Amino acid sequence: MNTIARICIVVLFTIFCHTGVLAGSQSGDEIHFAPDQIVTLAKKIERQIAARGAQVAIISRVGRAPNKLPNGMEFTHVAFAVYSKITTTDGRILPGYAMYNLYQDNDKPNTSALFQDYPLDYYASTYALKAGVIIPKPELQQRLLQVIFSDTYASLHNPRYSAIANPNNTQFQNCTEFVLDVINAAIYQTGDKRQIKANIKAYFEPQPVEISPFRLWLGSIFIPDIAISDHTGPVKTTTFWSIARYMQGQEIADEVFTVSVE
Amino acid sequence: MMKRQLSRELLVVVTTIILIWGGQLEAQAGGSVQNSSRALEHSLRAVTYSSVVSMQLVFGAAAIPLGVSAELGKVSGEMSDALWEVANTPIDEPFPIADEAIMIGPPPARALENEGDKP
Repeated sequence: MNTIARICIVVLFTIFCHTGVLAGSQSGDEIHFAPDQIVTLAKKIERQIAARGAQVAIISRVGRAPNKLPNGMEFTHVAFAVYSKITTTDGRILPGYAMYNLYQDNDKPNTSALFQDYPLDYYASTYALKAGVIIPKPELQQRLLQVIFSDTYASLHNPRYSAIANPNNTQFQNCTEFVLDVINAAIYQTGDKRQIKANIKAYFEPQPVEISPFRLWLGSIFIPDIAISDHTGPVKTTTFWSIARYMQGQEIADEVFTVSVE
Repeated sequence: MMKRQLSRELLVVVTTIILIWGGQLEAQAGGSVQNSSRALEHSLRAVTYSSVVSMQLVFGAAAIPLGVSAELGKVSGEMSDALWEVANTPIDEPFPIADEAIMIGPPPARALENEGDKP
């Protein structure tokens, strides 16, 4: 057997094993903290947002093991929290926040779908008892509501998922880019993706992904939710903190803070 | 000669495995939630039954934003007093939050199978 054939067999075996590992981590079957800790975190975040009278906030979670994240990546998932009246299955009407977000598909990690759930669902699989919060300016909150509850919201979703999607184009999208697109649709009151992307390119600074190009290339071959074909030059993507810097820099955020539970 | 070639091949193979497996290429991902949400629900039921946590678990059936003015007229008749106040409160004023732990309901198949499967 020649060298190339041997390498191919081992690589295929490795891919097989690695895919299994990924699938295990993505199925999200596990919770990583005691249930009361997760409830405490979710409720603490809700109360802190509500105390500020925010009808819409942008909140983040740590959705991957922190030691597996590249340098500079703290939170992995971002979504909108919308103050709502929640009708429960036992017929009561309760005040709280509902989450509006893009989730990666469990079975097909290179695709995504839009979901509405609640903070407790959102933090069920968190890897850290902390969250980042952005409170948009009241005027932006109103515009965000108008987008989230319009047809524009779904029209901004691109189901082709890449964990390191380039926010400057529409080739792939991840949860953070979707949030950024919705924010820009709200700011400019448009559903025109070309205009949204042009404005993002002009004003938003994505975060560099600190992984060597060779490893990213390998990842793009073997890992379904990693794509680099949408990038030219250094790979940069949208993160919670890059959105926070953008919103603070453009003076469209009232406050940015973190919430944690011991 | 043969030994040297084998060593070289072994080195390439091991390097490849390390690069792929240990590459930490998960980067950042949106993650998914449905199964972990259900896992948390089961755990919450367990701790609630054992009285470790004194909160009530409820399933949210529908969420209507208070900030969307067009909705207010439709829902005002069934709103609690607290919510009605919020609906008429300017943005930036503190809002009430329910003490209950609200989650999405079980998957449809499970809901059909277990008529009495309520929080």
